[in-house]
Amino acid sequence: MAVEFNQEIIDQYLSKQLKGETLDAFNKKMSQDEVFKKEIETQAFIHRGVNKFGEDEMRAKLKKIRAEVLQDKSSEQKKESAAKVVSLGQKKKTRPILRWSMAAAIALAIGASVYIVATNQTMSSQDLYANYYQPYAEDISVRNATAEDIANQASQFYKNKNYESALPLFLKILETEPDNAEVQIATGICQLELGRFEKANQTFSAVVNPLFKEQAQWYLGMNFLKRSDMENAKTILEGIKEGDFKYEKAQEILNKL
Amino acid sequence: MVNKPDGELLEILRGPDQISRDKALSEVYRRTYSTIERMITSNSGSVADAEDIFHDGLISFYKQAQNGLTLTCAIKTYLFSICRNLWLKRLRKSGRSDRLEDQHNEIVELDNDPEEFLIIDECAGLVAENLKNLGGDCQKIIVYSYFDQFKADEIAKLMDYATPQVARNKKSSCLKRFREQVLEKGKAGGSLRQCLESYL
Repeated sequence: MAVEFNQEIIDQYLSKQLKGETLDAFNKKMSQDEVFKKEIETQAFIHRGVNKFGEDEMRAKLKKIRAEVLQDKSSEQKKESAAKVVSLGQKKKTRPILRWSMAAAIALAIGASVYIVATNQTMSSQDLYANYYQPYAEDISVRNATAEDIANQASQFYKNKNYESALPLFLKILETEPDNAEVQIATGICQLELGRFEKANQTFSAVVNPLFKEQAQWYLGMNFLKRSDMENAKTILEGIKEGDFKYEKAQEILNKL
Repeated sequence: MVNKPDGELLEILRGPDQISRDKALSEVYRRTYSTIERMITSNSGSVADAEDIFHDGLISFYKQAQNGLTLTCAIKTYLFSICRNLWLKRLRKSGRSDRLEDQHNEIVELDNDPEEFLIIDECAGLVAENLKNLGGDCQKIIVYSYFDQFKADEIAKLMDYATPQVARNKKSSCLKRFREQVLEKGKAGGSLRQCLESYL
C-alpha cells in the first residue's frame, strides 16, 4: 500500500496547515517510510530557511514603516505645535525650537477679537500677548488607567480648541491626580482661553512639578498679559531665568513693555 | 486605509497586492504600537525592546494570518496579546520577572504560541543567506510560495505569467535549483554542513 502525497499536501504540511485524517496519514507515512521522511525533512529545512529570509525582509520593511511613522508624528507635532514641553525624564536642552509665526497666527485670532480697547498700554499688552501666546499642545498622559479615556477625550476637545468641553474633563482628572502637571497646564490654558483669569492664575500657580514649573510660569505671565495686568506680568516674566523655558521670549516682551 | 475595519485590513494583509499590503501594515502599526510600547516600558523594558517585540509580534501575526487566522477580536487586541505573551516569555527567560503590571488593556486568549511562527534557529539563517544570493525571479517565487503562502494564480499575477500552471512549473524548478545549491554548499563543509548533519 503506497500512499502518495502530492506537493500541494506536502506544502500544507510544511506550513502546519495539514489537519485531521490527512495529517494522521502523513505522519504515519513519515514513521514508516525512511526515504519519504528524509525528503520531507530536507524540504522542511529549506522551508524554514525561506521563512527566515521572509522574516528578515519583513523586519526591514517594518523598520522603514517605523521611520515613516516617527517622521509623520514629528511633523504633525511641528505643525500643530505650540509650546512643546519636555516630557518627564527628558533633558531640558533637547527641547525643539518653537514656531513663532504659527503661534502668532493662532493667538491673533483669540487675542485680537476681544481686548481692542482704547489705551495704548492695553493695545500693546494685547499685541504682545497675541504675538507670544500659543496654547500648549501635547498629548496628555495620565497615570491612572481609568482616567485614560477621559484624558483622550479631553485631549481631543483641547486639540480642536473646544476649551469649554475640555475643561470639565481636565478638572475631573485633577480630582484623582491633583499634581499631574501636564493636566494642570492644560487646565490652566482652557481657563485662560475662556477668560477665567483668576482660575487660570490659581491653576498655573499650583504647578509644583519642577519639570513643568517653567512652562507654568510662562503661561502665568501670558495670563497676566492677556488681562493687561502689566505689573504682575512683568514680575512673573522677570522671574524666568536664563536657560528656562522661553527665557528669550520673556526678555523680548520685557523690553517692549 | 485609516478608516478600514479590521476584517478588511486582515484580508488586505493576506492578499497579494503589495502596495495595499504595505499600507495596511503601516496602518496596523500606527493603530497599535503605542499601546505595546507603554506595556513594555512600564514592565522593565526599553523602547528598543518594545520595537523588537512589536516587530516579532507583527511577523507572528502575519504568519498566522497567512495560515488562515480568524479573528474574534480587534487586531489591536490580538496583537497586544501576542506581544504581551512574547514579552512575558522574554522576561522569564532572563529571570527578570514572571508577571506583568497590566494596565487594563483588553487581552484575548491565544490558541497558539506566537513564538512558534517565528524562526529562531541559526541554521535557517544560513539557508536564508543562500536565498539572498539566489536573487532574481526564483528568489521572489520561493518567498511568495513559502513565506507569503500565495497560491499559484496569485503568483502568476504578481510575476506576470500567462497561467497558474506556469507559476507552478516555475516554482518547482526554482525550488529544485535552490535546494541543490544549498545541499551542494553543505557538502563543502562549514556550519551549513553541521546543520545538514544535525537536521537530516
